[in-house]
Amino acid sequence: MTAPLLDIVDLKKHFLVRRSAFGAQRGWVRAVDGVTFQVRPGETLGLVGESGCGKSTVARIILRLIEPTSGAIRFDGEDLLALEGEALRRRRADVQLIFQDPYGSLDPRQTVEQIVGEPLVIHGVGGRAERRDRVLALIERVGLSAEHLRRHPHEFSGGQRQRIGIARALALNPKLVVCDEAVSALDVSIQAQVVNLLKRLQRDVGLTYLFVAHDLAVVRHISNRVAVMYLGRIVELAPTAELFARPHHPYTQALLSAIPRPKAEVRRSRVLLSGDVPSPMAPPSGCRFHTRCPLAVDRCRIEDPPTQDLGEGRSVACHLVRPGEAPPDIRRAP
Amino acid sequence: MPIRRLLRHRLFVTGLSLFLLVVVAAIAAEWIASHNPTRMNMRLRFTAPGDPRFLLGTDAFGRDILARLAHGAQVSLRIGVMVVVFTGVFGTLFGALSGYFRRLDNPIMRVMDAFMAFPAIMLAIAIAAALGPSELNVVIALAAVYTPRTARIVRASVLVVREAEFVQAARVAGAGDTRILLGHVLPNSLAPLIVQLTFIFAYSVLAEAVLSFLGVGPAPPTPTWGNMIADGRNFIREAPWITLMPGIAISITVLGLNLLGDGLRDVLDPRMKVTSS
Repeated sequence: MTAPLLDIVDLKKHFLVRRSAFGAQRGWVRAVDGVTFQVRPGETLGLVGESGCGKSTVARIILRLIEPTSGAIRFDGEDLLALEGEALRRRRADVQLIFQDPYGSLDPRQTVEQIVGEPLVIHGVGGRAERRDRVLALIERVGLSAEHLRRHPHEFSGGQRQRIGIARALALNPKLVVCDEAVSALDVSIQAQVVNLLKRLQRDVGLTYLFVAHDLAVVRHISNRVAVMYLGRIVELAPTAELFARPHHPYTQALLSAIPRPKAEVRRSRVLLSGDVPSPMAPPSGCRFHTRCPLAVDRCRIEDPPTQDLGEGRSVACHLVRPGEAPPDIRRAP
Repeated sequence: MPIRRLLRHRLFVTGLSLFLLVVVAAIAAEWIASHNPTRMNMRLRFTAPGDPRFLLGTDAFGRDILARLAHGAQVSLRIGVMVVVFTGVFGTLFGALSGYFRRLDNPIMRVMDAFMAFPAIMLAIAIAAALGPSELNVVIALAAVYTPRTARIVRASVLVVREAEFVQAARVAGAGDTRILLGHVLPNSLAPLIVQLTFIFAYSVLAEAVLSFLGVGPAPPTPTWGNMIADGRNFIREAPWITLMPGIAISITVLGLNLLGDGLRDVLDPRMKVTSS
């Protein structure tokens, strides 16, 4: 197997929060609490989970917008967290981000040409004319045209703005593009267009995606592998088809059963989880999911399950999953 | 286009017209008033307004009030413009630095707070009196008074804009602090500043009149609206026009600038609509 493009080991990010104005009551929000995964060149890894599970924090740490508390990130063989100053600035060209909010992520005072061209200016790519040509090529690649160059973001629809954001992310020929809920803010019909655009771009340019989302249908459509996050941890990671066909972790099973199904005849019993996600300020002891897991046994309450590699690219963190045995099934919960 | 929206704003257009009237009077002072504003003529003192030679009358020394008003307008506007420039530059500098660089926030803003602890006009009088009566010293005094207020406004909007996603986008693209601050944060935080500066212009005109009235403004015989009122107050019963005319001039200027500022605020910065300064 080829070397991973992105290799994340035991990544943690704890945020300090002060509850009162005088900082009397303090606490740590363990937004990301030991996340390990790899992204291989050319693939799309989907990262899913409920809101607040830490997936966006992971994305922002990879982009060095947030500094992690601990852990290691290797990108293309290089220690990403050790980079500072000029070296970091140059490395930024290789890892780009597509934002969730197509309204907030474009400077309202810039024209499309300035927005898409800014990364080129910063990294000193080409001369004025050369940059112009490149911006035009980028804009056309994402389905806009030369007449749009002089316009400002407010003159575009949400889908068009997201295309502008994609063009900007591609300007520097990045190796890895992190899509942080890149289509979540768009209409469903536009979502499909943008997802297909992303897939086409991946084919044409050989991009690698880390696709962060909460919409399982979109993730299933675009990802080669999917990682499921719960309360700052990855509970299950598997090839997309495998994961959707035979989810092993009880949380994954609950998540998948919540997908609306278009065909009524294929009835699947839905599993409703009771309760809310526990506060990441005080995560449960043992397995973080035990407070809501219908299959939880005593061991789950005490012992934190390690991540087991089950082969065929699947890894799960659950005591009830044993290699060679049938996975637990939450529909058969007592 | 904001300009077209401004021109449709009725109060803005009224304010602009009033302000332009004063600007034209200042620029065309030499043509409007054929008299020398400082030449006295004791035989013609207390001429009432309406006299063909002295349209707005003369004062206690027989000086033409129209000429003095027009030249006073030059002084007021010059001071107003300079205060706005100094306040704009330093207010933006301090506000942007303390809003963008968290470490500078406390040191800078606490100094600004110290300035703001004094009532504005008292501080201006104290500084102007300490420096001595001159036009430049009035500018320094007023700029020192208004800079902290402006810095606070700039800081507030910088604090908001620096969290915007397009700032993160610029960082991801490799932009440094200078580029982010000057290229993205400041241009998006300027609307409240522009509005604030028109009000500061109005306050400066008013404050300069107060300082001149109290004798710490530009030294006589330079005609200013403030010292014209001061000169006329002894004769307010016999010759009310001596105080009335500069009073009206001040009102027109301040009213014009306030309407202008309200209009700009409505168009550029609708969120500020609630607060009145």
